[in-house]
Amino acid sequence: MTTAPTDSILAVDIGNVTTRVALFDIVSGDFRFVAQGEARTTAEPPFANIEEGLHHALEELQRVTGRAFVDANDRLIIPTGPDGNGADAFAAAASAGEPLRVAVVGLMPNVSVASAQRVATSTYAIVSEVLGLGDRRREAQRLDALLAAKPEVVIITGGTENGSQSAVLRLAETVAIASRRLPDGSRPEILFAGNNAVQEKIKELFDGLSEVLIADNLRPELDSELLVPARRQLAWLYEHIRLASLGGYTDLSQWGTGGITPTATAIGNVIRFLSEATGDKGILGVDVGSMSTVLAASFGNDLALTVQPDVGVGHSAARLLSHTKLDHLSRWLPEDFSDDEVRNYLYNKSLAPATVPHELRELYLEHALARQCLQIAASAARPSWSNKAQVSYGGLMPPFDTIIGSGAVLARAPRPGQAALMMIDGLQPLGVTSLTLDAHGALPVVGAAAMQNPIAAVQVLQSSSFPGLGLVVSLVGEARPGQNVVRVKLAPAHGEAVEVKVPFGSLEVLRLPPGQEAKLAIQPLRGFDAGFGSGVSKTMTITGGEVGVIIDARGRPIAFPANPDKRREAVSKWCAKLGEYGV
Amino acid sequence: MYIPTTTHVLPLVTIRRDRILPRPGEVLVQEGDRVEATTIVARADSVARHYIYDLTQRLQAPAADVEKYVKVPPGEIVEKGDPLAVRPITLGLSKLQVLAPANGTMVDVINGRLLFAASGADVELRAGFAGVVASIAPDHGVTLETSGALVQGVWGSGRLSYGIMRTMTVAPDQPIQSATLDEGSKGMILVGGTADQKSLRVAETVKVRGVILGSIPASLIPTTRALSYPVVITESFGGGPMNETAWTLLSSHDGREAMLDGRSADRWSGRRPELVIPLPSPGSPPMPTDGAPLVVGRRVRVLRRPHLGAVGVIQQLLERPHTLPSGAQLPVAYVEMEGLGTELVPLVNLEVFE
Repeated sequence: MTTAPTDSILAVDIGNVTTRVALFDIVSGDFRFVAQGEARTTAEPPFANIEEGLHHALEELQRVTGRAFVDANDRLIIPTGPDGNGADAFAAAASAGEPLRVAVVGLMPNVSVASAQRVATSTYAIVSEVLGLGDRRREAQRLDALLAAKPEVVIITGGTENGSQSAVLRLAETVAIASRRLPDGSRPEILFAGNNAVQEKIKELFDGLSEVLIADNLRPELDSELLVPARRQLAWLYEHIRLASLGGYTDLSQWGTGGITPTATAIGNVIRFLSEATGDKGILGVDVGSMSTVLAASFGNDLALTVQPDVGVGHSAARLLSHTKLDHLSRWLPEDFSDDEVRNYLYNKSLAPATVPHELRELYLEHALARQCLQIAASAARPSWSNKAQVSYGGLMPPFDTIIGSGAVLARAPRPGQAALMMIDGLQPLGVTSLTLDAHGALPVVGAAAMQNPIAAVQVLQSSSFPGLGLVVSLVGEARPGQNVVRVKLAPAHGEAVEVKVPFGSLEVLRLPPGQEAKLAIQPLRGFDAGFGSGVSKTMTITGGEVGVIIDARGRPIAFPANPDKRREAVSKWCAKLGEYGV
Repeated sequence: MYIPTTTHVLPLVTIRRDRILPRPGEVLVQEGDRVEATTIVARADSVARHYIYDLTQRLQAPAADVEKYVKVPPGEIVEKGDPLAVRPITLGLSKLQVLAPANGTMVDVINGRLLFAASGADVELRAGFAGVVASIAPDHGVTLETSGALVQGVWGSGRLSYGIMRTMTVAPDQPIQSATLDEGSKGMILVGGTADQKSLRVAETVKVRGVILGSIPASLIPTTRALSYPVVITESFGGGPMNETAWTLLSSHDGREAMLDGRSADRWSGRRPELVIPLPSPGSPPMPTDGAPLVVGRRVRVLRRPHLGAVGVIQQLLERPHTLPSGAQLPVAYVEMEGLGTELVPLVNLEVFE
């Protein structure tokens, strides 16, 4: 990574459906998002070459900016020429392709195995087999299971420093036998992140079979965890196994100096930079994609990156039913839908992942799907935040200062309130949280640019390119439906003050246009916590957003009426209040 | 320029399909050979399961010594009961031994442990359709070529099969009735509009070879996956009738032999569920072409409600994004739909259909 001064950055993100290019340049002394182009990704046949889609996206960017980015020989113009064509730096991220198949081998299920699984979930990877000491299968059965899982990477860990050696080696031997049984070209790469004392023996075990990458021990001591080095190595393996298999990868990786970063890593980096730049506040970035959902939570330089590789609103839509019951999706629908209609929609969306809702009824389904993807991803990510975040309530989200929402389903929501509602319903934040929308789908490309210039990335994130939706004040507590549980007064710097009492089970929105300042006074009822403690009031100065101030008095987790008709009525009111569906 | 996916329903094209073994094996045909649907073109052995024997324990000998008791070299095929390792004891009057637990292969002795692979059923790849071997990938498989009709589907339940086509309904929107299935359906690939659980199960009992339909509800997916024959749908889940082009093509070839490939679509190889009807051709018809952009005059199919499955021709591409009833603002096209008039459709909800 360099922080050398650059005047313009061309950044690329190649997703499973869409390839985006974005230009960042210095405007009035700060980096700004200038324009973007997008086209359908062409990683699959008939093109099977990501450059085709990239060139279409660059053509669109050139049409918007009047600036050419490739020369007559299809080479990137770098640095910017005297004619204004080209860019000074180039960065690329990608998530196209199937998730990496990873096997995890460790000793204790809740210690080294759990840490290795957390490493695996930091990139686009499916854990296809787990071997550990608690495994009651015979060694030959474990061998057959490993061969059937066809892992492309095996993460071997276990043994604290000065701890167990023989047990780790015994498990690694099974992996080595599996490697021997596979033909050349099908053997998995080995990532060893266990007891340092056995590194050389592990290398010997796989000599002539598989490449062994070494990372620091994930659990140097029982009560300490070190994920970052192994996470970096796995990201490198993802790039060199999966991304490198994409047609056009070699040419594209030579456009810049930083190779092609996995999109999740790029997002994680930019969220971490932002958290550091804002005084170590808790920042959560979410990216709901067609194939996968990424959550990057950073508390200062402590980043927890979680990828749900098979939770998404397009290619993975049908797989949602392996993570959740149909009812859990249907509860977000404001109209009556039969189970068949919902199920058919999910499977059809997987068949045609690039399509968008034409009718309002299908928009309801699409947004319900996005909510459920966020909820599944947040539930899976929450354990990895427990050491970092100040958790106020068990089983609920830790408080975040800001949530940034990315992904086409959020960015292309017809109304900003719909994007805000999907983020609030799916993530169910606590306390006072700023919501920001990645309206141009630029978070991954900003993340890619951050690899070249972190300051530029933070400046872009804080610019108008990422519109603030506003604030959500989320209350924890229980009351009977309809009972007022919070009094809120919004006093804009210019204009009349508004005061509302918000009943339990409802949402309220106080409009405050973007950029406008106001005093916000929050007085929760005793037993209700708006992030300052039960029954504690607070007044703060805030800035408006596209939606304004949202008061969420539905409780945490959100309390749904049990009766289906009343549930639909409640969801319909929430949608109408915030989402402006059909307006 | 927007380049969508393409679905082909074509009366006569050159079709090339790979038959690749899941693991290296033996290719049984030569380039240029003519094959029938039933021809086995490649074969590979498989491993049913592994056995690991700790020879230090079984032979009661130190790890450094056990290899001298091993009677079978690595890679040798043995039969169940053959001795793999034998250590004479009590002056040769008795012995400690490890016998082959099944027919299989002695793999190796690693750190005092003997690894044995029990043989599984051979993997045999059949051609699936009559044609010519266009090329060979030694040890891995072949590429076959034929001329014929091609109907691509959107989803398949799994498996590949072949048989004689039999149209079971009089219209593309009608369900196959279980009462119409009898012994005469045995070995057939059935064509219909849709089917319910009962008729799919009755079809299993009368031993049909496959079923191609316009659509089924997604709730029937688990049922179809448990069947011994492939089910392919051409439109969508819970959707309307089979498109007229496919219906007319399939009906017109009633009684011909066809291959029904119900294996799931693979984004990275470009494989789609499909039906292939080999047909004689005087010359070499063209190959289907993919990757055509959306332009005026292009034949397209709609992938999303309210006109899900409708086929039409692009009349005009609008330069400015249009606001849809959902509120989304997107580039759109006017599409003249067969029997429905002209409608606005977002470009991302269209696929090339030709």
